Amino acid sequence: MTLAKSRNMDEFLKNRASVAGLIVILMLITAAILADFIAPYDTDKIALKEKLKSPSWEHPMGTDQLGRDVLSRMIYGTRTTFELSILVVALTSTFGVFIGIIAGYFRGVIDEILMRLIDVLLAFPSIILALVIIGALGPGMINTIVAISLVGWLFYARVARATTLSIREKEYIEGARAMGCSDGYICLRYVLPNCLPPIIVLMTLNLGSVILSIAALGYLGLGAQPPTPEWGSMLNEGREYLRDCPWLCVFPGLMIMLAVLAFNFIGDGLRDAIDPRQMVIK
Amino acid sequence: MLNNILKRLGIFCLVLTVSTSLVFFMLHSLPGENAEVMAKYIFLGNVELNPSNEEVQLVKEKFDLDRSLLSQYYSWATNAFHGDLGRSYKTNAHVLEEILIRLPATITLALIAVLMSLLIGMPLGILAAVKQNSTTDYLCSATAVLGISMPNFWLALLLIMVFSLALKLTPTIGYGGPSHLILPVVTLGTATTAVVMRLTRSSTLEVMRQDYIRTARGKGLDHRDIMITHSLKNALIPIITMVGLEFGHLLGGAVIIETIFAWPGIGRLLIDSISARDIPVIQGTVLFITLMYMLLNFTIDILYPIFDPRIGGS
Repeated sequence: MTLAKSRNMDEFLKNRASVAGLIVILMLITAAILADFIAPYDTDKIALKEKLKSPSWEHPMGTDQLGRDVLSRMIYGTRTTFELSILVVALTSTFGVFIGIIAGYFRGVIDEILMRLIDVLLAFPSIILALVIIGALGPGMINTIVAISLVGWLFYARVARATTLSIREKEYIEGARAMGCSDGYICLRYVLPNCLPPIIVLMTLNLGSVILSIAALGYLGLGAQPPTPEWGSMLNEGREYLRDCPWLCVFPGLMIMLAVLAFNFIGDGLRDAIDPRQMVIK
Repeated sequence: MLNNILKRLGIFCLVLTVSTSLVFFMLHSLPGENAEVMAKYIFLGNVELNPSNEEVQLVKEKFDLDRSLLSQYYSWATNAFHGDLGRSYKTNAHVLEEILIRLPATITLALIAVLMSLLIGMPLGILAAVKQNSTTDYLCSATAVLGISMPNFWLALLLIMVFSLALKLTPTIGYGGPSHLILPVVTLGTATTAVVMRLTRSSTLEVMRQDYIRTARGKGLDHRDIMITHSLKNALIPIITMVGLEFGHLLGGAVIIETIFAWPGIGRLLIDSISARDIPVIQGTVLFITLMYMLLNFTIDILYPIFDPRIGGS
């Protein structure tokens, strides 16, 4: 087991793009944690005299329409984005894996009902479903989390179910049953750990798309509300000044792309390192 | 064949019923709030003002909002089946008319974007596969990853910045002649092009490893003939499936793109109605988007045996 793990690790570290992605994400996480210490200015401090200044030594990313430092808002925006996306992925993966294992392990009517429900929910393009939920609940950060989470667990459930289906036929599960282990214990002790590799890959790739969804909803004015610094809503605010102050749109967009790209690279690397054939969805 | 179609039609109707009811229940789960929004529009003409309790009560009675959700859904579904999707809270216009006026704009946008992604993505994917592990291959793959990771709303702003504001080659926003189509189509189609390219590459590589390709080579067939008649035909199958699924992403993406480019399609109608909490319009547009998405995938399912006779036989 340890040997396999270290071999996977070597395989992952050989992939230069994945390592670069990992470094970028670690830097972004550090920035998010240390935002209070490294952000040069207060994010909410309005200084109308300083408004719409182009990038300079004082303000490396310029200032916005209210004279707030864009770099500081970007750093705090990293915190908002990472907090939201990690929360969403934690919620959806836990719930999705739970449902997936139950469906795959017990099969029968439960499996049939759960999988048909997932089919129905997947009949919508995911952003549309998220929009409907926000339409019902109203705009806001909490509602964004709810909307994206309600859509996001579906993929985890599918992958976890597919993996469980193959695991439950394995001999060690039969062995555990013969020893009198309860179903709950078998799921927790044997099925769950064996489900994890593809789920971890999915989580990494999913983090990228969750960041995109959060930014898209923020951009549409339905996610994080001003004055909360968030990349998507910063882009939305900067849109009006596209002609004269392009930096207001360039930097937040660049950050979103960088983060998504980094997670995609890490995910691809992990998938190749673990086992490409275990992944059932793209 | 007929059995297969009937079975799929059954599933289609079932999924449509369940999904519309799901959306209906979600949107109507807060009945008090709905009545309040309606009262705001009817009595005050403004969402910023608060209606009195009597006004809210009046609206509830007039529109039967006190009835059970199930019976409300039943009346909505019966009316929808007869082509009546209700009236907008905000403008009092017929929802179906509002949607039908905007539908061509969205369909044009999505279809041209799909066409663009196939015309650019497939040749590049084949090129990357034929020249596997070459600089061309790496360049194609890198561009594809970039295309997938780039937020479409940011790409839209960058394109406006460069092509409209700086170079003045295209109109910034709006709807009109073919020149208005360029930026929205490029924005919407970029991610799909990247996906098509990656899939064409992997699917061509997979097919090229098959025995029948080796046989064709052994027979001394021309390389070009092998690529076109043997490889491409078989590599097409996963691409067709993917285009159906990707169409859903396109419709979702259209929601954002239409808002940015002030494109008068149903995506923008959806966003506007969500901001205004105009429930009948939200419900109607979602119904149409789901219907389009499902119809396309249904058609692809039916047409599948034509592309892959092995599936029809089973």
